Amino acid sequence: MAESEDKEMASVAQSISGLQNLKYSIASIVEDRSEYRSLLEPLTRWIESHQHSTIDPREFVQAFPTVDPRTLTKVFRLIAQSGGFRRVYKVITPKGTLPEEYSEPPVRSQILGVAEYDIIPLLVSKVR
Amino acid sequence: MEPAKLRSLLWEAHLEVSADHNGNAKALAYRKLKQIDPEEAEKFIDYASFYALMDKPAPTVIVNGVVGNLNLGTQVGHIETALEVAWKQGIEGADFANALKTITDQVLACKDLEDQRKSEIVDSLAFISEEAQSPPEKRKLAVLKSVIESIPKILSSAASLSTLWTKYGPFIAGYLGL
Repeated sequence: MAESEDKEMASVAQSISGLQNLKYSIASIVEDRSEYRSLLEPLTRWIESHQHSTIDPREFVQAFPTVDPRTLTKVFRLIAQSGGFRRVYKVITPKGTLPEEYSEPPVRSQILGVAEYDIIPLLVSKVR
Repeated sequence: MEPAKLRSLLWEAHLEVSADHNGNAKALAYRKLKQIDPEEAEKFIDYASFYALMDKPAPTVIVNGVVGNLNLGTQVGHIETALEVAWKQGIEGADFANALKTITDQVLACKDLEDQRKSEIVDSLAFISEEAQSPPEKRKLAVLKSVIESIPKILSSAASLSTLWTKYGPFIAGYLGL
């Protein structure tokens, strides 16, 4: 087997093991809030379906509109800490999302020609 | 840096960012917090983003407590004090304060709720506010539980307020440890 395939297999194995740990961690958060117990399966299914892509809080909120932001933040942070993703920041303007990715939230002087903007953290899968 | 300083910076940052969900305010707050605690800085950005996406109302200073013939100034005074204390306790406190303020504002402004009902709810919220300022081990949890259970029943008598508790009640109950 070629070295690059070995690396890919190792990366996928790490991602699967990360996902298992993630499932346990999410279970413990959901257990703390009894009203969210029924969300464990849908949440992990959603994460599984996004593990090779990008986790965008906007889609996350759309998928779970009734979950409070603290719980979604905790789950989002667990996904970030699971090791399968790198964190980037994107800039949203009234005209749409800018293509650039930033490693830190950018201040106004870093974004030329934009008067009004917001920042969104994204988790981009390391295995794509 | 002491935890109190971090809490105070988090509070300031939360207020600034909540005012208009502005990206520059978020970035500046991130930089300030990162010098003290990089993990808190990241956590702050994540939370502020989810908070804004879920369209929670921005925190502002509350109400005057006088509605028509009803003077609830004393009770609203208790609520305002609790809000000030809670806002200084970081994100958990901010959620509680925001929920308490939103319910109080909407009840006071509601046109299809009788004055007596308004008075009952504001009395209950004032009691919750006073208890919230007590240390957790000194709170009268059984009484609090019963007061909290009574609020959604009263709110449901006004159609415009019927979903208010479902949306904000969990933040209040969670903060009080119920």
